[in-house]
Amino acid sequence: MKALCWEGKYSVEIRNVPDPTILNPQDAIVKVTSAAICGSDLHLYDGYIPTMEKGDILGHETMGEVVEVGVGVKKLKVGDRIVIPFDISCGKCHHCREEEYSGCDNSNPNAIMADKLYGQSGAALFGYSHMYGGYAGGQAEYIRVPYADTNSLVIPKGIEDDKVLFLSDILPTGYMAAENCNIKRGDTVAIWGAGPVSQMAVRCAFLKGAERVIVLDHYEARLRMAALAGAETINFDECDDITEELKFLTGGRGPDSCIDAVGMEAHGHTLPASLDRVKAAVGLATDRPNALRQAIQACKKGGTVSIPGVYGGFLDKVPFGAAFGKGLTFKMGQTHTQKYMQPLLDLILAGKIDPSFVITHKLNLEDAPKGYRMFSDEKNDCIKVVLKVH
Amino acid sequence: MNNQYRNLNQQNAVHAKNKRPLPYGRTYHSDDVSRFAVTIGKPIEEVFNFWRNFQNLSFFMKDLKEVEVLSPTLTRWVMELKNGVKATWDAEVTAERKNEMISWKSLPGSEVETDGSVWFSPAPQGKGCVVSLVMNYSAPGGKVTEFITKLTGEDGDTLMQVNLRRLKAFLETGEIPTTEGQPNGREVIPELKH
Repeated sequence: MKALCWEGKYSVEIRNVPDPTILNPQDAIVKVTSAAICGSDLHLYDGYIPTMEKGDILGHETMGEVVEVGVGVKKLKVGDRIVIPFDISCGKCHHCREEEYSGCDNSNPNAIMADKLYGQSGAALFGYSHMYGGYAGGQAEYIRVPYADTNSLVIPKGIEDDKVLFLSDILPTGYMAAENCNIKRGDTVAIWGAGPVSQMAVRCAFLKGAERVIVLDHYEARLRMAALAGAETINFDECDDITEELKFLTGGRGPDSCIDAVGMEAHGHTLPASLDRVKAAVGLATDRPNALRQAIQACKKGGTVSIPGVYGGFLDKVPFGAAFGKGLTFKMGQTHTQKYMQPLLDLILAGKIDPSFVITHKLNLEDAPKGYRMFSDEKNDCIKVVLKVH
Repeated sequence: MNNQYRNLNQQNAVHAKNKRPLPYGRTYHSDDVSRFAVTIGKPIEEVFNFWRNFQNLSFFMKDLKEVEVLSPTLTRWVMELKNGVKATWDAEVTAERKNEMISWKSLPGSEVETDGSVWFSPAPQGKGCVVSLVMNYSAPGGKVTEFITKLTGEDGDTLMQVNLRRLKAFLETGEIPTTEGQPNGREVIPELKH
């Protein structure tokens, strides 16, 4: 089959590779129909995620048709059309039973790496480095899905891929970011970044009862997309002091909650390229948490900072005194995608939200390398790339 | 130093078979040489029985090809690495208390000397069973040391942690997570290479 493989920094290529097969009883094989490129794929593209290997198949926003199931699969059937969550969860461990799916104990065969780096390993992820399990991703013609009954959402017939594909990641991620804000009716939410997760978070924050959403970015097209949903926007290139501006816009109080939908990308970051180097560089390696710093600084007293943006290493000059002084609450982490997929599908089917608005480019799988280049280099116009595979 | 502390210092390590049951929710005896534990969401009886049927150990212990049960207390262990290097040894159960602990030790004169103990105790909040494992390997010729190093790319401690994780995964989900055999772009079909 054809698959998009990571070949090194700024290099991804379509390769012909063997088809995936059932390796464990609860596996399923899925014929991919649509696969998106995620903002977090750019961390890989930029070469900043440790424990990648040349030839790894990328992609964690995937949907398609089940073509084979293992003997341990109970619910899913051949022919089912499914969306696949980006995190891989066993469905049986303590964390899965508590619906903390991204904290799954069992799915990561390389858990020992993350154990050593983070103290505990979270769930494995599709196509996202060997520390996170080394599972082949979905930017390919076929994908193997472990624990298939847990890691799937069956989509009813008659609804197009584009409307449901983002149940795999960015819609649940935006939703959880909003949920983590503890929004009360009438609240003001400020969101750093206007990328795809932010676009989802804007809509979800309104759904959750926010009265105002203020989005900060410096790409005008992205800000316009947020404004279409009713957000107020700030181009931070044209703003001298974001804290003061947000204070002014909120009557001196500050936003009730702040979402950092940027993460370590804010000014690049320096996660060393291997676990050993991470160890060696302890105390030196730092993510660049500029969005996070501003979010902490701007947030109202007693407010909440919600962090869907990805961090990997060590943070420098985080204004923790401000966080303490204002009594802030922090909520963060990988999305418990499996928890949110069904209720969000219900919202889509009820016409309450249609995440397909975020798509700016549709390409064939063969053109995926071009998709990565555009998404990386032309952030103003290229907001979300979807690969059409079958 | 008061008497209490003097007594602590004078205590010798207690052999596993002489140890008292672990207090509820506790994982370790104070003199355990190695401290690795995992909480498995299954009843203590189920976990104990799984382990006590020693042939099951090869389901989750890395590169342990087979454990043959020769008698209720005697087992033959066969370890084989991917490169085909093999080691075999016989081990006997040296202590056992149902649903609480098992200790074993290789017979004198084995090509590798190894002993281990595993303890089972109830986890708090109905979270199942805490399993803690201590395994010691020594081989005069260094064969197993080399073995272990090759096995994990690390050391015996890492191997124990990995094995405990695999035990947990196997008992909770019925399978051990793997990516071995999945496709990647490192095995490109030449004529179709872009």
